[in-house]
Amino acid sequence: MILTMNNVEKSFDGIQVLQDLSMHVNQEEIVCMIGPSGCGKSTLLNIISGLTGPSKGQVINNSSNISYCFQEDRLLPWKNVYENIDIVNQACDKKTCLDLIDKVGLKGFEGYYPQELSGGMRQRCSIARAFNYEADLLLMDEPFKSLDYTLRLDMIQHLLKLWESTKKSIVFVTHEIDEALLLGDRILLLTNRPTKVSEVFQIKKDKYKRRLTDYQLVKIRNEIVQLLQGDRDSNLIKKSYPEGAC
Amino acid sequence: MKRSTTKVNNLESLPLHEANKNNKKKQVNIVGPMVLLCCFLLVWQILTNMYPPLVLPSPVKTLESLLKIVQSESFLLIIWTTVKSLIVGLTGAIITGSILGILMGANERMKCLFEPLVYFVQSTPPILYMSLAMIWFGLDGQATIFIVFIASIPVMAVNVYEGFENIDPKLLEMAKIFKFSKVKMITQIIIPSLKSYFKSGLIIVIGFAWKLVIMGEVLSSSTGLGSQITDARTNVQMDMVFAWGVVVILLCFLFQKSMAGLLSLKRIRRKNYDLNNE
Ligand SMILES: Nc1ncnc2c1ncn2[C@@H]1O[C@H](COP(=O)(O)OP(=O)(O)OP(=O)(O)O)[C@@H](O)[C@H]1O
Ligand SMILES: [Mg+2]
Repeated sequence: MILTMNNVEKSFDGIQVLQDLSMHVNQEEIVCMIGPSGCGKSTLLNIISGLTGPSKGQVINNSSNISYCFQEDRLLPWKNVYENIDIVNQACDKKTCLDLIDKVGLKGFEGYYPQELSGGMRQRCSIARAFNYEADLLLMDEPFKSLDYTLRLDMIQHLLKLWESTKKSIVFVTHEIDEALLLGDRILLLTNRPTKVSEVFQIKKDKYKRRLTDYQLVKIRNEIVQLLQGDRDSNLIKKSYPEGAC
Repeated sequence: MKRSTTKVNNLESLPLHEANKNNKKKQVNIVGPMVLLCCFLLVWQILTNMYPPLVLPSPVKTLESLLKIVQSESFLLIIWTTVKSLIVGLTGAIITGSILGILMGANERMKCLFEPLVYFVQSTPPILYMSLAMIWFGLDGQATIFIVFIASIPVMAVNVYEGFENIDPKLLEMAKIFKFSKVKMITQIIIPSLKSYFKSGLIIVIGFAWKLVIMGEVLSSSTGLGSQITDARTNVQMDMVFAWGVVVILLCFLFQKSMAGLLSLKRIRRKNYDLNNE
């Protein structure tokens, strides 16, 4: 296991964000996480990466290096696309770097500065940077947001190829169920704050052969939708009948 | 005096590309300022008809005196004397101020140590330094250099320090994740973050110091531009006071503008990353 978290708690002055959260990531596994906005997914990744510590609980990290594709692009405004990607890897030769740029569809924009790019292009640059860094654990926080549908599918394929060639373990946070279905070995569903893992789905099928129309994927998708819908309904009921009227 | 310089420079510390846009607009929009200048001269002319020339010299008379000044042999020498004081005092202030700002930004203890000092120096009116300096250094150029030096330090220090305060913590986190070395952190993140604050500090401080150097010379010196104003005043030559005034204003403007222009120079050449082109 490359990462284990036991009963992790995290609170920010008064608000309890994570409560009693336990999870693990196996070697060479892609773990996808779906959860409501503001439930603490980014906080969880920050704890994994060591940027913040947990308030309570245990994080056992067996990875030697962690790469992180942040929710925001966090590119250096005074460096162009090429330099931003190149900067994280001293050993990187020009060809690998240009290859990466090509893969994320930024060919021809190597010399552009972040403020001259669109939001999605900046995002892709930040993805390429995360890929370029030598690491055995890759954290991705909604990396494909603000990309169009086909580009998303492309990026999923690239991510799979990268995963195949480097055998990284990946923690992938997303709001898109489909992305999770296509990428994940396991999908973790997170609850509202205080957050813990509410449901785990295992998908055994070879990631390259998955189609969104596959019976197994459709079934899991339905279950997830039902759970999310159920969450919503129970919240609605709580709102309309407060104080345990139901 | 200080507030007005800051205001002018807010415009100049705009992001580079916007500043460039403004420059372009300015070149086209020369008509407006010209009309304004004409109005100003007209009002001036009307007023001269109402007051004796001893109080208010006419624009034409001022221009004549100005031409006389410019043509005189010692003109450049006088300017050079003043500029020399300015450069010496300012260079010292920029270096000292930047070092102070960096120390304050980089180290919490240094901040506690120097912050009160910087604000103390900043709150003291320059004329107070002037009075002291005239006693300490006498009536040659040194007093002027001293006040330029001492009064400009906090401006620079505060600007550089502010740059530190505004380094994006998210970029620092990014650097931590990708294990940037100390050197890389400083050269790739901290220095570029400070650059624009340093630049705007530089532009502000030049305008500020230019006014101080003139004030210093008017009060304490027998050389330089300021002393010429003093001489003209004691001889009750109002046209000369006006003419030197024009010289001072134009030079200050030129200084600031050329510095701003120098700092906003940016090569927009795009690097070529085609593998085959190498
Ligand atoms: N530095 C902080 N200080 C105080 N509260 C914080 C801090 N960071 C996060 N929080 C709180 O923690 C909660 C979770 O934030 P987080 O960014 O982890 O959410 P998220 O699950 O990533 O949401 P989204 O899907 O919208 O990105 C929020 O309620 C937020 O207010
Ligand atoms: Mg988030």
